Amino acid sequence: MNLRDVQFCARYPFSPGSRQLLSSQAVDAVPPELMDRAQETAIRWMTSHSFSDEWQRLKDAENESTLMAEVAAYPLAKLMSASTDVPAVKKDFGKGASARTLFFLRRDPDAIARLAGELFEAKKDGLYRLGVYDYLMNIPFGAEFKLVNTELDDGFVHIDDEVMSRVIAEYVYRSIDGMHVDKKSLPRSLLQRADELKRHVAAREEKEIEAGPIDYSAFPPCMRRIYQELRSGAPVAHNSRFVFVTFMANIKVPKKEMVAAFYKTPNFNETKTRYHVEHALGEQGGIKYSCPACAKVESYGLCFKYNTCIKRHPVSNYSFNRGKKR
Amino acid sequence: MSVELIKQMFAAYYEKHPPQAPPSFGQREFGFGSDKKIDYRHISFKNERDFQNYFISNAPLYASFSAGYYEFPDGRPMPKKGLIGADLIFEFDQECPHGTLFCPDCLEKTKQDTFHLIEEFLCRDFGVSRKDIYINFSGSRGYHVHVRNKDVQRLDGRARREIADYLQARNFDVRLLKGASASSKGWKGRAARTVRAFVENPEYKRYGVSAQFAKKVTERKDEILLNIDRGNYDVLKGADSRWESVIDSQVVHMNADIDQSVTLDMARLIRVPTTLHGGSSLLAAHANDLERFNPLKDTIAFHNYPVKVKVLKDVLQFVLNETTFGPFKAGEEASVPEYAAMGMLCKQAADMIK
Repeated sequence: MNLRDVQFCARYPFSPGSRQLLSSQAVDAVPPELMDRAQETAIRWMTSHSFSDEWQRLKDAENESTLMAEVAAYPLAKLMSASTDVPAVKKDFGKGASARTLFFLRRDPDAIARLAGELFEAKKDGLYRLGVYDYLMNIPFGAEFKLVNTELDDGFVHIDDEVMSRVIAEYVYRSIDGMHVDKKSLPRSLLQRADELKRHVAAREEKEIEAGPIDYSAFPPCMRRIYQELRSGAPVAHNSRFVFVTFMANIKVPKKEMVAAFYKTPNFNETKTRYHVEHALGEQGGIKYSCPACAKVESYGLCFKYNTCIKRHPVSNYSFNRGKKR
Repeated sequence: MSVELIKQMFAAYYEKHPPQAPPSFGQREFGFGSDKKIDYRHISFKNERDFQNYFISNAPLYASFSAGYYEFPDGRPMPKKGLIGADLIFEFDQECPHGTLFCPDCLEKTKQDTFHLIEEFLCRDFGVSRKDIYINFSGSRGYHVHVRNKDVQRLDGRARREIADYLQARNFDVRLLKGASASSKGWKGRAARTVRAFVENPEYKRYGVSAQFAKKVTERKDEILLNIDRGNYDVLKGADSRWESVIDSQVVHMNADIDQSVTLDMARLIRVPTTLHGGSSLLAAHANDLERFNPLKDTIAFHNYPVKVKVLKDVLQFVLNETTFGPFKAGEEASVPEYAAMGMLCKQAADMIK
């Protein structure tokens, strides 16, 4: 690989070329400096979505060992985030990595074509011709990217640079979010550093969800709709009820108020409702359920007007909406 | 009494005609029912003989298998099964408004919906090869379309929702019509073709728009067509919402709550082809040659010899195996072929007289 290739790998460490580069540089053990760098990368991407400095630093960097460290830090950071067993860590890291990719690609059009080819065997002829299943598995978030609004023909969608950049960014997010690791196979030094990532997320969540009165007007559209249906006495499907309870639990609605939300439903039974609420809270079955992210809410068919939502999680959208009103 | 008799008849049928295990049956979860469609599930089979013996011994009235492939298909709860992938399945089921036991009209409607899905969407837009599409008659009111290949097996819930949305043009941005032509790809082209077809022949009932709007279109037909050829679809003020109704005429009609969930739910259990349907006595049959397939003839499982039945409720005239039966009055005794008697039994419209 020449210097330009190494530079490319440092900017896009998820690329197949990066894996190839690393496999050619076999080492016996990961040096502690590299572990530190991976941890620092993970925390930086999780906490700040400003990538101008990093772009400037990597754009023309010529020091090969610095570039190599950048490439090697990424899979380690990914392993760290996956080893925490805290979904929010993977999600935060994934969102950071995805945002960084999109930021870089918007300044690097040649890289879009290269990555489209390497990741999806997609060729550009005016527009990119991308296999529909690759598109579906990496579909960006937002009404304008819905399959129904793309040009689909004979198994291929035809998309421009911007949409392809978003598909690649989503690919990065999903490859992190969907990663599962066997912790037993990981070195202790990595697991210790992973704990630090957990602490960061816990601190952020604590800050986001302060105790305080519930602001129903800040509910994201999906939850507002379920809430309105419950209050109108309409029959509400099990999935919707469950998602709604987990959402209310996550934004710290008092149990009594959660039960009261179901008061007008047909066949309301306070004891049963309390039992189900406690089950979702983990007080009955031992498993505490978290509110699913927007992607899952959407897959349940409960997402409405998602193009008005800024975040990828109903709880984050609630926090965001509440923050806006202050 | 009837259920026991039906089970005996089903067992005798299965002894002579053991059902075929579905592809990759070792990785599938099975569910069976007699009182309900599925009384118990989380069942798996290691070999085809066990599968077939189960039918002979238990004669279930309903047999279903999973869209999903699992590492441990009998594991429970669900996460312990270890989902490997899932077929992509579409269900077309028509609630019959005609009150007859077997309704050729409704079955024809679901057949047309099935054609529309396969030709217009799966093959044309999604590029699915015909060899990866398997069509099964459900044994009762409609058809199941299974797409089985490596590409669809990896699709997650969100991707499947996206496909269901696509088939129904949900969230289609009608502003995309601007500049669209009949040769545009995907819904953009389909919408352009549909709007053009409507303007050329504005049958307002077929397209779900008002007679008043259709009249306006007729009056300015030439002008609108000229503009459409230039990619301009907003000659008439506020036409966007009307175009949405027109475009809706092309969507794949799936019952929003029931049929769609079959496509979305990877853990869904669906009728096993080559098994009998306890609600009709018909065979849930492969129907890959859909055009020639006759669901009320090719699926007859029982004999032609006459048996006596006592009719339990008024039954409208119905056609089965190209033979017309009835109408019957409640309390009436009648002699009908065994297959028709079984159909009436399964529909709880008659009892057999020994």
